Amino acid sequence: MQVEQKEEQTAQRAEDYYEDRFLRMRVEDRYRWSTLDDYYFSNAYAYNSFGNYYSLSSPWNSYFAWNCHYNPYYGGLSYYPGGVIITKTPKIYTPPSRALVFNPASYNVGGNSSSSAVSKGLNNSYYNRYNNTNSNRNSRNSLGESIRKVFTGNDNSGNYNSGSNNSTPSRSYSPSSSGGSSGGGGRSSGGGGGGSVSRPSR
Amino acid sequence: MSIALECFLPCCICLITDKARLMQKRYLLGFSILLSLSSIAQIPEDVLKYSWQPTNGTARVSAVGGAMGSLGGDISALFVNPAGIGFFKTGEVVLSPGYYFLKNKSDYRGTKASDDGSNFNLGASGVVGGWRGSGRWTNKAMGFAVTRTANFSNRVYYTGKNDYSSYAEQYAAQAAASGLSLDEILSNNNVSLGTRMAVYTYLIDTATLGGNVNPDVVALPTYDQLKNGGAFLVDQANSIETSGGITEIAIGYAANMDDKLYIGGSLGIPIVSYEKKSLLRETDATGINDNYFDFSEMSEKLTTKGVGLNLKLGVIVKPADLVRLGFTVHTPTWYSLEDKYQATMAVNTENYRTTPGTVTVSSEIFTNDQTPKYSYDLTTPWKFMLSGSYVLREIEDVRKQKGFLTADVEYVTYTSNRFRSAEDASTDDNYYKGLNEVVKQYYKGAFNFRVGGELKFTTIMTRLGFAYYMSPYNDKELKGSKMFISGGLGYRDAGFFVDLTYIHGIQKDVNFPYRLPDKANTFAAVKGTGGNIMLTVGIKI
Repeated sequence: MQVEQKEEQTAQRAEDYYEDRFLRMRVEDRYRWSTLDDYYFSNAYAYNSFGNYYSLSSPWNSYFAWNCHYNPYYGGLSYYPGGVIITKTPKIYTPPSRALVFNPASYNVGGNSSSSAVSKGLNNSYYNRYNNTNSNRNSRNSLGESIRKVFTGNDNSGNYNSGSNNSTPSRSYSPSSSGGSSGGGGRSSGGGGGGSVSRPSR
Repeated sequence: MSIALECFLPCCICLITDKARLMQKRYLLGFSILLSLSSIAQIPEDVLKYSWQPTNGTARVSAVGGAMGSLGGDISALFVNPAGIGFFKTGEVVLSPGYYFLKNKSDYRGTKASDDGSNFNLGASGVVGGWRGSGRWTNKAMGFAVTRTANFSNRVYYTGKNDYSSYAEQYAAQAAASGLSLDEILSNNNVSLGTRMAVYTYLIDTATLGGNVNPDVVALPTYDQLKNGGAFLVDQANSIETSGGITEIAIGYAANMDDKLYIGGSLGIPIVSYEKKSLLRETDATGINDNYFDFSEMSEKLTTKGVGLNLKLGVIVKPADLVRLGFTVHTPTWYSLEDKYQATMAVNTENYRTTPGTVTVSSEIFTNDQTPKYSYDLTTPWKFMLSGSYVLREIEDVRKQKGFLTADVEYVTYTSNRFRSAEDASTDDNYYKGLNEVVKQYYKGAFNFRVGGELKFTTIMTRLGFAYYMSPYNDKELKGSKMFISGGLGYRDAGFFVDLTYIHGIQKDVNFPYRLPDKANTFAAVKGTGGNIMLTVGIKI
């Protein structure tokens, strides 16, 4: 009990001491020290053996400490004990037009009835994956093929698919008028939306 | 497509002698000819450009088929199994220039064509040095080397008649699927530049076909057929010229424990420089002059620049005096890449327009007269390699060794190629998801095999090698493979060595001039044959 009372008395004496010092300074020059009123009155430890809270020699001013002068997150004034946490809002990048037409369906993946492919929407809606021969055989008459026909009687070039020339699918024109131009930004831009471009007259 | 010839000579037999300079190591050359035909700007075909290629070492390594995963003693080890530089107990400086030539024969819809090209090459070159170790480490070594891991210089040409599809249909399909009006397409970044150019030039337009209420998007080459039941036949020709390569810089370190165990690792920094110019021309072959289509051609130029980073870790053990076994892991290369693209389209639709004539448009009209850039990251496959060698009369005095037989089996996870946007948050994410899904299913993991041997006659060595790279395509209809047969001579004496190697490569691949999502596709079968002459000179230091 005696120890606790002694500590309280010491603390009280220290606080009184600082207040006394500050009041003496204020009386001496009230304008010079007025800006420090709030700070000093609310922080009895502002006057310490290291000069002040943010002194470079203060152990509380660790380079790594939160809100120290050198902390990149410290954004307050030198005697304001607060800080600012900087947050980065990611910028959504819109790329320029793709150079090529890329459609996963054009790669015939899932053509072997892969269940994973089907589930991912990559399966093709057509069966003939490749067409490497013309229905008009007169359109190709290389010497090698002519010789092959003579000896084998087979005019199939070895490419396995023979597609139908009437197989062009319907490509319906159904604009929803919801599209709009979009520009580029960020690291990969370089080309913007291009503004308004009109076709030559038909 | 790519042809890569790699050869390599092993060497190695490094045992200890007072005269460490007799230790040999050189591997030599490898070289690679990569024909990248079909790659353009972030499409699935791009991945083979970076991962379907052989080892490019010194002339010695190239002469034994590139099978050096368990041999060591050659600077090429930095690019194959870094543990191999642990065989070095002295140092050497190596330079491996080369020259290659190739010819590509194509078959497109029954028509055959060919094109050829040639260029200089650089095999593994650099400096490596070993020093005495401490404790159980007999010696340690460090090396720094550079090599051309891919050479893109190539030319491919194919042509043929087509009565089934037009390249313009890819644009019609995308325009129809976009849900946009043609006017909106002209100013919308979600549509490819090709489609926007096709709209601008009237290569595609709308037409109400017989029996339909609503119009369709139609490719003009097929207009007369679809609208009027006319004939459709076009001549198609595609000319592709690629250049550039991948130059990899590697630094590695290895240690040798009691001449029984060698472990090592290397850090590789591949630098990519790639350019592709192509001209796809389609001409009306019906002989009809009023069917709304005369010709169209698409001229494209794509450049890719970037840099990557990879790690190679390996171990070699000698369970018996005559036997060496090796295991190597190559991490993926993490590339940061940037593409630039420019294209010009010219179209003549005969009397379709009231003002007949050819309409020409550049892609830059849609990009504010700027060249569009696409920045992205690419992660290439893992590689795992098992190797074994049998050294004929392996004794400490390498002068008395008689040669070796060596083989590598390598597995490459082509399905693990991954693209991603270079941006943290991008509207492009779905594009890359679709791309990666296709890569996973379009390709497969594949094995590569390399075997070779050397016979040594005091200062003269003779070598033979063979390498086979399996098809990375999951679809058996797509034939792809690379095969290399190599042979060479070497001379080594008094701290000087020179090796000369010839590698003959035969490669099969396919090239799609365009792809349609709603119709069967057509492709050219391309067979490339070529030779690579490689010379390696080196001195012990």
